[in-house]
Amino acid sequence: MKNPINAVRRAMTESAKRIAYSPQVRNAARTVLTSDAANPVRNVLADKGLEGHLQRFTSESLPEDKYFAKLTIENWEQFNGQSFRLYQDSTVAYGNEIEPPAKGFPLEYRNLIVTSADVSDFTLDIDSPYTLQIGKGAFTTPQQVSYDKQYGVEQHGDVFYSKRGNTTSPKKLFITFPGFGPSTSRISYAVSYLKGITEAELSDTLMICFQDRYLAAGSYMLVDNAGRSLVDRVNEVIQSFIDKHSIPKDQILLFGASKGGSIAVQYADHYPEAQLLLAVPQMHLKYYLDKPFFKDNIYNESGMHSVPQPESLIRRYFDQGRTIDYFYTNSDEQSNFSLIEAVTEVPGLTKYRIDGKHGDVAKKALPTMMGIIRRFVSDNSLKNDLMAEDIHVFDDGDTLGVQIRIDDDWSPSGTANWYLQNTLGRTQFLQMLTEHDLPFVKYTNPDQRLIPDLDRADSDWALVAVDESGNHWEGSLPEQPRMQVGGSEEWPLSTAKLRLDANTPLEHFIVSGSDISTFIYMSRRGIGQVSAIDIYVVDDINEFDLAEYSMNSESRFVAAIETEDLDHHLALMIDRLSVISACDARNVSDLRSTCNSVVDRAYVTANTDDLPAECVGAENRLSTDFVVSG
Amino acid sequence: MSEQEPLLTVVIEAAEPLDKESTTYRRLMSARLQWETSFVITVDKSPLTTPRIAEICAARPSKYIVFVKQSHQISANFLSTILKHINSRTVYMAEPFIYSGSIPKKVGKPRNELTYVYDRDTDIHGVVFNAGRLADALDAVSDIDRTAIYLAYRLYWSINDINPLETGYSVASVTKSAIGLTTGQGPRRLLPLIPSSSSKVRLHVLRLLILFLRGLRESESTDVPLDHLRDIVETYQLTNYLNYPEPMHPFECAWIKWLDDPHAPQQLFKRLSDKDAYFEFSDADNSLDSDIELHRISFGNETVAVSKSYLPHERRPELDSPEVYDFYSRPITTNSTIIFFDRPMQADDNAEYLYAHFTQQHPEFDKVYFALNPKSPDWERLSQCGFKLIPIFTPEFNELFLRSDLVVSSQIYNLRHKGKTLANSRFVYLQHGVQLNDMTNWVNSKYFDIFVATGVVEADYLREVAPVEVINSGLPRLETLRSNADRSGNLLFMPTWRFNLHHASPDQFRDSQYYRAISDLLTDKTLLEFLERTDRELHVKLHPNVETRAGAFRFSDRVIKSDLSYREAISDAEVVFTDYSSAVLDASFVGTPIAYYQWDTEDFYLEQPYQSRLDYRQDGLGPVFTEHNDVVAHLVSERYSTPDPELEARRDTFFAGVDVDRINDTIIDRMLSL
Repeated sequence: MKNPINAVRRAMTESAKRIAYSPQVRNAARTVLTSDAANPVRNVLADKGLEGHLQRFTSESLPEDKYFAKLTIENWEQFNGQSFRLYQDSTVAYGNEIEPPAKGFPLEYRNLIVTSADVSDFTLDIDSPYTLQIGKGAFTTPQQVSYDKQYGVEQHGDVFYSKRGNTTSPKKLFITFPGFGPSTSRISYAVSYLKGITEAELSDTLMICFQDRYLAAGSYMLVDNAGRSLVDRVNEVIQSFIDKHSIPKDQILLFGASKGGSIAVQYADHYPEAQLLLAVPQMHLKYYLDKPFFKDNIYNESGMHSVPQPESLIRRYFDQGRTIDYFYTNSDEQSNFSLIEAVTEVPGLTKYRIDGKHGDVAKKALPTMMGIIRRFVSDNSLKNDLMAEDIHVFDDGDTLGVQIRIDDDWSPSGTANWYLQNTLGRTQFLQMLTEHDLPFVKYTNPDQRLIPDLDRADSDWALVAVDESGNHWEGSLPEQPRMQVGGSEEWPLSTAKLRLDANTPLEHFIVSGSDISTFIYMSRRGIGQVSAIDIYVVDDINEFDLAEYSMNSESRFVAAIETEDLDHHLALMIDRLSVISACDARNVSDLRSTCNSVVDRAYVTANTDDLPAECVGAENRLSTDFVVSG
Repeated sequence: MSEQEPLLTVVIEAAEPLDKESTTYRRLMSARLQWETSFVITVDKSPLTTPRIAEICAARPSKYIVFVKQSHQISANFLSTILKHINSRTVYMAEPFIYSGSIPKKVGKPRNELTYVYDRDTDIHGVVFNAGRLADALDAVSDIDRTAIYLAYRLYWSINDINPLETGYSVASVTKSAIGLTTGQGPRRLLPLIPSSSSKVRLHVLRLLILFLRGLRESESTDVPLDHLRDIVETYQLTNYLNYPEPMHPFECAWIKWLDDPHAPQQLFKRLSDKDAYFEFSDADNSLDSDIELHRISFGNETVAVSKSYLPHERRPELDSPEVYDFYSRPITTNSTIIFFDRPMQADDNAEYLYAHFTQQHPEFDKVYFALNPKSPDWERLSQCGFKLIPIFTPEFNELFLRSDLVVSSQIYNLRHKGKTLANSRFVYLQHGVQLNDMTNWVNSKYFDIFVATGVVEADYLREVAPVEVINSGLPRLETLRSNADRSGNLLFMPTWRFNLHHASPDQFRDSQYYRAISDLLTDKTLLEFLERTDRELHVKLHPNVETRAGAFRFSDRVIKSDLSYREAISDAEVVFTDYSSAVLDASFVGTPIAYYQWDTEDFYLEQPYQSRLDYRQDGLGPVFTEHNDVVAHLVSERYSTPDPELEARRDTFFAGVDVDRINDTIIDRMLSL
């Protein structure tokens, strides 16, 4: 092996930079310097304070025309909460919504991928001083360097991970994938290390904690910094561990929360017998990323959207009857994309409905998730009886609240989660409960109430507790919460995939909290070539001639939605159709009789947030290029 | 100030002659050793009113002034600590740690500072004022009552925080907390409304207001207008601090909530099984159709009616939420945990007797506990009787209380743990005896679901304020109480207690009329000769509060301090006499003659937090004596053994309604249906 220290030093001179950062040299150096055998060398470089240089030098190589950029916004306080865009010439190179950086640190956005090394090609659309650094090596921070060291993050080619537990002769494989950190974190790339799981508990298990070290804040491990697919490279790494240690196919657990959940769904593809532990995964990335934080960065990363959406993968997994523990909240339609909330009859699936926002789920359900992991790594768990002494049901006409008094001589002594449990067909369903200040009372808070349209269980509800050791307590209820269900309502709600080729009326529901809207819609490919979708909101879809409208449209897709809904859900429904159409524009017309003027109903908007509450055409005047008559 | 003038004047407030041998006086004087010329002591025999204090300060006797009441207690270093502090600086004021009970051995920062601040007495005593500044302040706020001077001074000079000096002062009385302030007519405002953002000042204001309102329930009249009280509540945002007074003064807290929001005249007081108890407040403009009028209080020209009503649970939508646990939500069943207790250190009272009966008659209830202090002499006895004992007021007790469906006791404590209180859970109050005094104001601020009365006279009196809760069953201990067929013929004397002696020094105690009257009786030659001649004994059953002072009395072969239980002592006696104790009614209940020796009828109710409702001479179940010689004559003549038809008739009326064979079962039937 050549002396890499000298090689790095040489590379630091301007004249040698170009050569040193050439893909060929860096690929060779990366292969050498990121191998296990190079540990002593890395240590020497670290001692000499050259770790950052090494990081950049061995970071992923970019094509000739791409560069890493670091944007530092000086005067961020003035613009806190506002969106900004960094333009390269007239094209958006990066955008985000300003959030405060860590205290005492500047507001930095690192590893933006740009196609010019000339700083003068760039402008910022807010009136704040800024600096832009551009180079061929990835940018990092001392905190990230320290973090990587603390968690033993290793680089293997373009794939990053840390290893824990039994690395020599494991019988099980436990793989974790990370979620997003705060956009302004000094540690942009974390790992789900799960410190609570001890090395001793991993005595039979190899734990691989992947790091999503791509782009500014991660790429769902779908593309590398150059936008090229990573899927095969990551799959190879996983398969190499399975092969190396002859891990049985049913002794694999993949875990991820939020973005990590979506990644876990992606990389479970080849392992139908593996167990999946998911918390709030995004089911449709483009729909989820259609928001200020992502809109002008990874939302536009085309490579990320060319693979099947997690929604498609998990529907297949459901069909396969895979073992899936899925934690979600009804207040997260952005992630759920109208699937997990209403899905029933899926064997192998256990749904845990947690209350709160997207970011609350993993925190609240941590004892349960840790318990599932511990049951996987140890195969041990205790089953115990619970004694529910009293139950009181609170029926407000729409939802059911429950308060249960237990004999707490029989309950977990440590931290545990409490649930109401039932089956929805072949699917296990657990609704989280809240622990009262009185230790013997468990109850539904306002966001935990049972919803007849979703929770029409077919057997008796039971009270369940799960602790972080994987122990399980279960007891019957002295009385069953009975739901008032209207006879005409169809159940379960249709969880069919939202389609653009719906030539006959189909249903699609949207849930937020306990509010459920059901839409009947149709959609078809039009004859037009304009990258747009026309969406008509109608009173009666059977009276609407979609074919005729599509014949007269220049747009690529035409859709109709029948609903009485006037609120936020309609806007979401329109968003969803727009996003799955992948069109640049949407033309929305409300033809419902609730509106005053037929002529005024048509309008064009690129953002359905502008939908007026009462009548969508009233404020957004008719587009000149699209007129609705009748 | 000339060089000869002392630094500090100590004004001793002494209505009675100065006791120069008292600990307090000697401790004050001991500071002379180091600070001989720095302070002077003056004695003020006139009541320390606001004008009098202004007069004293105006004379500028010294730079600083402190007021000490003769009956109060001070730490040994009280004066020297103060002098050392004010000697080296100029301050508006300084103060020691101020207590109501005994001064703790280690005086210093309390564990919960705000609780200390709220509990601290707000009068002037023990506080060192800058005399000149006090004169200035009183010049501006001369219209306030003496009891508000301390607070007015702090508000006037914007003194938000004071770090107490490491010495102690005790007002040595809890009476004020029990009966409130007596400001009388005159002041038209409680305080100058000078804003303060200090939580500590606000807590002091709250305490002052609470005690003022408590006092109003006694006097029912003030010249302070209602709007001024409303202004105080609003200015100092007192409703934010009601968790401090709520345990002791729930009535006054309800009142303050109404002052804060006159549109909410009905304030929830206690959850009950069928309906909830509310206090209702109404002024002339808003009369209410209440169940019971408790008070009609005049505030200058305005009158406020304070009432109690029982209103349906539907008024409380919060009970329809799973987040609120209703301790009444499940019936009492054989699976219920039930806790009984009497006094922590002494059982042998109604809870013990009811527990024994209940566990014997209802063995299907297997989670029934009796709470007691393990150091109580009764612990071993009850343990041998098979009582399921738990140590009272321990974490284990609290957890059991939390899970219990019912608490039954002859004592009322402010039980509270994790949000459970007696206001929102079931409680059966058995009492220790029969109420002969007018304690309705006390009764009104206590939480209970069942209040056990004995006889129609007491039940009728209690039903005036608690018609739903009162049950005329009789006290549990009476069901099995019998007069011993082969009783000894001994006499039993059961003197009760005096509130004002709670913190009396041994000397003060010996000087008290209470001590002298009892002591004179126990050593009366005629009585002793009678006892000797008839081979009788006089058994003296001291009140538990006097047990520690028993050594002050001279017992003898014939005059014996009884260590028997009340029950045994009464069963064994030929005649039982007392000053005011209702315990003698037990004797009357089983037909044993009783008598009253009330040597201090004039003063007794002045220092007590309640008034007699019973005219002992008209309605008492035994003859009443006020003179030592008369009671001795009654005893030695054995007149008590002659039946008195009038007393018999009074007795029958008094205990009417009590089915002696079903006392316990009547209570049990009612308590299990709560």
